Amino acid sequence: MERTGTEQPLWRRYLEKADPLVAAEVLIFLFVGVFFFWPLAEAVGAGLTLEGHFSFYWLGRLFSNRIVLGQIANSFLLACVTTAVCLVLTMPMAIVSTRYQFRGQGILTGLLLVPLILPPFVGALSIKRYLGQFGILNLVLERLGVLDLSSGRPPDWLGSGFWVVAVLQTLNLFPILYLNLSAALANLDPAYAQAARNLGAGKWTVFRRITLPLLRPGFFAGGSIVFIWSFTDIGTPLMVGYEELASVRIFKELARADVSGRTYSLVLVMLVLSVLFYVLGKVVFGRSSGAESAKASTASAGQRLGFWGTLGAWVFFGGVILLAILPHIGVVLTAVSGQWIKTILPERYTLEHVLFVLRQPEPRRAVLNSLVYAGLSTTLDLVIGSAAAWMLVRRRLRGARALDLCLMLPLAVPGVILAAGYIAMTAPGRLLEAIGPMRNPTMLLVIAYTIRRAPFVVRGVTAGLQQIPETLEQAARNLGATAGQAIRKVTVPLISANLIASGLLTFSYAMLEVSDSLVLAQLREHYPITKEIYTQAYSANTDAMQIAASLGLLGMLLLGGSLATAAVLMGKRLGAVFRA
Amino acid sequence: MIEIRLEGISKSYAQGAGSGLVLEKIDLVIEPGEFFFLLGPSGCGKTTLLRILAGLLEPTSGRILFEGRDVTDLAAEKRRTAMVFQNYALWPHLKVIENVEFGPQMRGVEPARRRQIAMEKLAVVQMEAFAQRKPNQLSGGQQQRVALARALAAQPQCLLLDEPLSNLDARLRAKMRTELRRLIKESQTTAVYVTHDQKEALSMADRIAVLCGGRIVQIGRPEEIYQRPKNEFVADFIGEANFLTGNLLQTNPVKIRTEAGILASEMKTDRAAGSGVKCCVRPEKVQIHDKKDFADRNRPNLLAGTVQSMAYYGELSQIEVRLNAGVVWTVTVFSGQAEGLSAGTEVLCGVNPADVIVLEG
Repeated sequence: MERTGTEQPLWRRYLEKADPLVAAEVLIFLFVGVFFFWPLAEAVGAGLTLEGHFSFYWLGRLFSNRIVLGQIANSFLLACVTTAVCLVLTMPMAIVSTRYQFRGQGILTGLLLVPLILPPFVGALSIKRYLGQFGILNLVLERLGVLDLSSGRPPDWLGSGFWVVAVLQTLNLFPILYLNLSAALANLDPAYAQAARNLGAGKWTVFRRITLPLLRPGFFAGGSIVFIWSFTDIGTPLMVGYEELASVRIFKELARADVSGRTYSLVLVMLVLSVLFYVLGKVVFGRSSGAESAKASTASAGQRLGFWGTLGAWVFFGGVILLAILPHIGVVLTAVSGQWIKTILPERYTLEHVLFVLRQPEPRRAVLNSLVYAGLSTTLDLVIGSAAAWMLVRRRLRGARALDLCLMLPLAVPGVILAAGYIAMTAPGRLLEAIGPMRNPTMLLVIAYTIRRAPFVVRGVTAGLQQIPETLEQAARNLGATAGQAIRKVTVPLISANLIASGLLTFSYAMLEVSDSLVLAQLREHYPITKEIYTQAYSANTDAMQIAASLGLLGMLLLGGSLATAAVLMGKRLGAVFRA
Repeated sequence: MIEIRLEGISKSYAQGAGSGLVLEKIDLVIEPGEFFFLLGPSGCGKTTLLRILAGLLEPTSGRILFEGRDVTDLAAEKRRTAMVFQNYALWPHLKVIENVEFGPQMRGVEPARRRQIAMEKLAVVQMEAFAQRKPNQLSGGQQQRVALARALAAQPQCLLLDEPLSNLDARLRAKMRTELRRLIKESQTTAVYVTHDQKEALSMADRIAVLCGGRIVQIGRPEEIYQRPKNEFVADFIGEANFLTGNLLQTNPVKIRTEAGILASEMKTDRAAGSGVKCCVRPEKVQIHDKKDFADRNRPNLLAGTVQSMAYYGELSQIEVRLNAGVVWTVTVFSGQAEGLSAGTEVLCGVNPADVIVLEG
C-alpha cells in the first residue's frame, strides 16, 4: 500500500502497538547478546582462526603443549579440592545450625558470613606474613621451642602455593555453600525424615536415603558457584604467587599488547569446560527434587544442645570463622604497621600508609574509579535484573525463561573468559576499539560488572517476588491502579528489602571485582581498587605491602558496610541471592 | 492387631510463652483392630498425641503400652507404627514404588519380596499403574492412596493417620471416607485417626475420643457421642445443638423448668431437684407445627415460638424459631414439611422426651 502524508510511518505504528514489556524484554536480550554472547563468540572465533581462516591449528598446538595441559589439570584439581573441602566443612555446620538450637547461634551463624565480604584476593596479601620462612607461624613455633630459626633452613609452608590458594578460596567461598545448604535444609519438610523414621529407618539411613538426595539442588546451587569461581579465579593465585593455573596463563597473555589465537584457544577450552561442568552439575545434582513445592506440615523446632554440645558448636564454628578472618586480620595489621620484620606482631603502629593512600592521586583515583564503576553497574543491574525477575515471576512472558537463562549464564562463564572476549571484541581495528582497554574501558568495565553480577539481582528479586502473593498486585489493579501504579505502590515497597540487599551485594562485589578489572583496566588512570592493589603489591616500593594492604583495608570497609546493611535488611533471605 | 494403652500421658513445652501444657493426663485403651478417632478443634492436642504414639515426640510423663509392652522410650523407627501424614510426606526424589518399598526394606525384606509386597499394596489402593511415577506427577487423591499403601506395606502394628483427607476437595473427601474405612478394616490393623472434621469421625470411626484443651472430654461410639453428648462442648462441636438452661423440677423422671417452658427427659441424672441444669436438643429432633392448625395442646414438651427466618437447602430446610424468653432454636425438617411456614408464623416446637439430652456441668 502506498503511504500517504497522514499515515504514520511504519515503525511508529509498530511502536505504538508494541507492549512496553516486550520492548523492554527485547532490549535486555539485545544487551546480553551484544555484551555477553558477542564477545564470547569473538573469543571463540579468534581461537579457531588462523590467518583469517577457520582452523584447529591453535587447538592442536594447545593439546600438544604439556605445560598448558598441566595447568588446565591444576585448575580442575583446584576447583575439585576447594568444592569438596567446602562441602565437608559446610554440611555439618548447616545441619547443626538448622537442626539444633544453642546459645549464641545467631551471632555465630552471622559471623559465618563474614568471609564473604573478605575477598581472598585481599586476604592473600598477608599470606606470606603468616606462612613465609620468617612468617608468624614459624616465629610462633620458635617461641614455643619447636623450631630453631637461626640454624638451617626454616620450613616454607607456602610450598608451591597450590594448597594455600585452595585454602584461601575455601575460606572465602564456603559461606556461599553454607547459605545454600542451610536454606535447603530449613525448607525441607521435617515430615520427610519423620516418615522414614516412622517406617523403621535409623538416623543415618534417613540422612543417606532421604535428606542427602533432597539436598542435591541446594548443593548444586552453591557448589556450582564455588566450583566455577575457584576453577577460574586469578586474584588469589596471583597474590599468592602460584601461577601454574590456566586462568593465570590467560591473564598473563591477555596483558600483552598482541594477543594471538594461542590465548583464545585456551579461552575456548576453559569456556567449554566451565559450561560443561556447570551443565554436568545441573544434570547430576541440580534437577528439582520437587521437595521445594511442598508445604511444611510441622514446624521444625530445633533440638536444644546441652553444655557440651554448645561448647562443641562454638569450637567448630568459632574455629572456622577465626581461620577465615585470619588473613584479613593480617591485612589490617599490615596496613597499620610501621615496622614488621621477623616479629610476631608489628613493632610499631602507624596510620601513615592509610593516610598516604587517601592523599596520593593514584590510589585515590582508583577508589573513585571503583565507586563510579560499581555505582553505574549496580544501577544497571537493578534495572535489568528486576525487570527480568518481574517478567519471569509475574508475567510469564514468552521468552522470559530464556531471558532468565541468559542472565544466569554468566555464573557458568568465568570473568577472565568474558574479559578475554571483550579484548577480542575491542582489538585494534575492530568496530568497538574506542571502548577498548587501551582507550577508555569505563563503559566496558561497567558492562562487565553488570553482566557478571546480574544473576545475583535476578535471584534476589525473584525470591522477593515469589514471596508476595500476586493477588496483592491484582487487588491494586482491581481498585483502579494501572500496571505501573500497582508495581510502584505495592510491589516495589514490598520487595524493597530484596532490591536494596541485591543492590548492595552487587555494589560490594563490583567494588572488589578482580578478573575483569585486572584484565580490562590497562591504563593507570582507569584502574579500579583491585588493579591498584595488584600494582602496588608488585611495585618495587619498600612499603609496597603496607600500601596495598591499606587499599585492601579501605575496600573491606566499603564492602563490610554494605553487606552488613544487606544482611540486616534481608535477614534469612540473604541466602537466596547466592543461588545458581 | 495390637491393643494400645495410654497411661497418664502429659506433654508440655518448657520454652516459649504461655502455659505450654498441650496434653493433660490422657488415659486411653484402644482395642485390637479398632478404628479409633481422635477428634477435636485445632490446638486440642490430638496431633501431638498421635506423634507421641509414633515416637516422633516424647511425652513429658506417662506410659505407652503396645500389647502390654512399654514402648514409651522406644525410638520411632523401632515402634512399627506407620503414619499417613497430613501432606502425605511422599519423598519427591523416589518413585511411587520406591516410596512404598521403603518400609519393608527397612525391615530387611529381600528385594524381590518387597517389590511384591509394594505392588500388592499399590493394587489394594488401585495405584499399581502409577508405580513408576514420581509423587509430584500424581493428583492429591492419588498421593493420598500411595501414602496409605506405603504405610500398609510396612505391615505395621498400628496405623496412624493425621488428617489424611484434609488436603482433598470436598467431593473426593466424601468418596475417600468410605473407601479408607473399608481398606483399613480389611487390613485388620489397629488404626488411630486424627481429624477435626466431625462428619469424618462419625461416618468412619469404631470409637471416637473427643479432645478439648489437651483433655479427653468423651469417649464412645459415634451414635453415643452424637445422641448422648456429655457436655455443651461435645454437643456443640459435633453436629448442631439447641440449648436451654433451667432448674430441675423433679429427678425421676426428669423434668426441667426452662426459660421457654417445661421439658421432660428420659435421661437419668444424679443431681438433686432444684439444681440448675443445661439441656440440649438436636435440630432434626424438633417437630414444628403451625400453631393455628395444632389441636393437641396438652401434649408435653411443647414450646411456643415464632418463625424468625427460613433457609432452603434442597431436601432439607432450616428454620430459626424464636422461643419465649428470646431463645432462638434451629429446627431442621424435610423441605415438604416446611410448606405454609414463613417468617412471623406462630409455631409450636415439640420434642420427644427421649431426645432431650441433659448435659453435665
